[in-house]
Amino acid sequence: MKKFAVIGILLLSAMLIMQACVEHTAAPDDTYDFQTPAYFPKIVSPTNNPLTKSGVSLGRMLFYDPILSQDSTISCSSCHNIANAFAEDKKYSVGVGGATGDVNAMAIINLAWQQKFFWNGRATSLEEQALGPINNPLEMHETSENVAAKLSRSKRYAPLFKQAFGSATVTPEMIAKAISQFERIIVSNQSTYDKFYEIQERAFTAEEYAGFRIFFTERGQCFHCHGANGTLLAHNLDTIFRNNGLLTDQEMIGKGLSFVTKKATDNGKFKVPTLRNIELTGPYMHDGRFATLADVMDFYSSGIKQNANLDINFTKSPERLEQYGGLGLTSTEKQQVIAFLKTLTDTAFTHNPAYQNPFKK
Amino acid sequence: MKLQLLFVLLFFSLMGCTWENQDSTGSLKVNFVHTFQDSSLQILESNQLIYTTSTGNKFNIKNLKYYIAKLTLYQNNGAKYDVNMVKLINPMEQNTNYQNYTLSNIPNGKYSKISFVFGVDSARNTFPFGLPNNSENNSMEWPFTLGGGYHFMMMEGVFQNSKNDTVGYAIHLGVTPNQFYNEFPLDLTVNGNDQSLDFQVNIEQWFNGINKINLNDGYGYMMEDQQKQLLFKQNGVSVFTLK
Repeated sequence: MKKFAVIGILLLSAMLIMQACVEHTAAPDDTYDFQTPAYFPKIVSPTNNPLTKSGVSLGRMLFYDPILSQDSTISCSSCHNIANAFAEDKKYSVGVGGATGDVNAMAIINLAWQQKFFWNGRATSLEEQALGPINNPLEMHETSENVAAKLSRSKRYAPLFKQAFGSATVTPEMIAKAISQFERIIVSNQSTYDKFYEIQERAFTAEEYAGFRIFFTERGQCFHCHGANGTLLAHNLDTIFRNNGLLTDQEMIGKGLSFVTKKATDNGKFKVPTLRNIELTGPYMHDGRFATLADVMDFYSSGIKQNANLDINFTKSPERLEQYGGLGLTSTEKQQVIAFLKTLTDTAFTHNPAYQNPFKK
Repeated sequence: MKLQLLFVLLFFSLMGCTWENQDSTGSLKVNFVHTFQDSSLQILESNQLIYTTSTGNKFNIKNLKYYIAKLTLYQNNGAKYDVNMVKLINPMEQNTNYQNYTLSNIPNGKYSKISFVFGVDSARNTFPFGLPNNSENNSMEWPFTLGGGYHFMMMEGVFQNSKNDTVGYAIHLGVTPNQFYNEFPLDLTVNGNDQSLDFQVNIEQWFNGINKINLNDGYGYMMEDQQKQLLFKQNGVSVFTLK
């Protein structure tokens, strides 16, 4: 009898420990099947927010629902439009009551592989990023607690949160998790550029390949910041923020990564964005200062502003900087690079039914 | 009674496993200790020029990463042991796992030589599948257009050029001809224990080996310049010293 009691206590302890470790276990058939090509690295996904069908579906609804904003006028999709590869065709986004922000909306592409978010890197997880716009007075001008209360009262959403996270009493954490799950599955991998991994240079036209060669050699230098992991995915933490000469010493104070780190050496360093779908995501740079890719090419060719933190990839060629104010590309070379950049356009991405507005019939 | 017997059996089974490991194998943690001459290497974020090459260039180091492959131990009888691994050494990382290469399950015995390949061995120098497909290896890609594979080393910083301007340099080594093999005599006895040894990595030697490097000679663009990469490959042999 005593022996059974000991075994019983052991089993009970084990069950309690397991229960404590798992907040909410999704139903076995609720696991989201996240498939990516072999040339993509493994996804960096937090263990406390695994992808589930119910979580992704809920996140998609929240992404497109203006209920997240104070006056129910602004949704995530207001500033992250799928037609623009989840960026925006405006320089600055307009928030509740016509408030205007001061940075250009970043594209949402392949975020599952990234570790820092916003142009200045102030969010260190997608979950943290997801609540940022809700609480920003220039954007949704709400509080995540208010939104949680609204969603808890909603006949539509309460059961969906119960299904996805085990409770109909919604918390900001659950909102962040759901939106992050949807954002994590937004993947671009069907551009012309992706064919390079199968058929190498035969993927490109002669002009595109000429641009590819400029991009991936020291003529253009682009790959040092927008390398395979830049155009494709994410970056190592040590290379994710760069000063590309947009600002003078005076202009860059407190801007970019230094907003977070408070280090003068981080002034003017901004997150290097993915170039996937770059044809669709203009205007360009953190402040949307360039309307077209041609403007961007002109900048890198002859518009670099020298400053104390200017990236080594520019300062290591002082002759070019002095002579041209940048890379000194010819007009033909600029066209070739733009032709290559357009091979990163992925129309299967912008037409993917899984990413569309679920409220549109 | 049966339950007690079960615990006793379990205890001895676990002890048996431990004793077996202790008897037959040991481990060796090889640390890469970075210096400039004999002082600890400082990697800076600022443009402060704290080092001087033998050719008189004032410079600093802002970024340093490189690969070590196929660290191998040799016994006198010709037997050798390696874990056939490529390790990214990154002295900028606070996590010291990026500054060592550990060999586990080394068969007991006396080892008289240690060797490694600087860079990525040719069998694995193909991007993106040669090494584990993760963001840190992705960040070392050597473009297809320049031969493909991975950077063997990235060392970057700024220096004062001949016009007294502070400008960048980028020592980038890659492609298979620029890997090199290094070997060192060793007196190591493995007897079921965990040991460690240090390689001093004297960064000054990259600039002051058999070739004296003057950064004014154009070390911003060397990925397409085999001659410049060769100078560093030749200097690399004297960078590593077994302590």
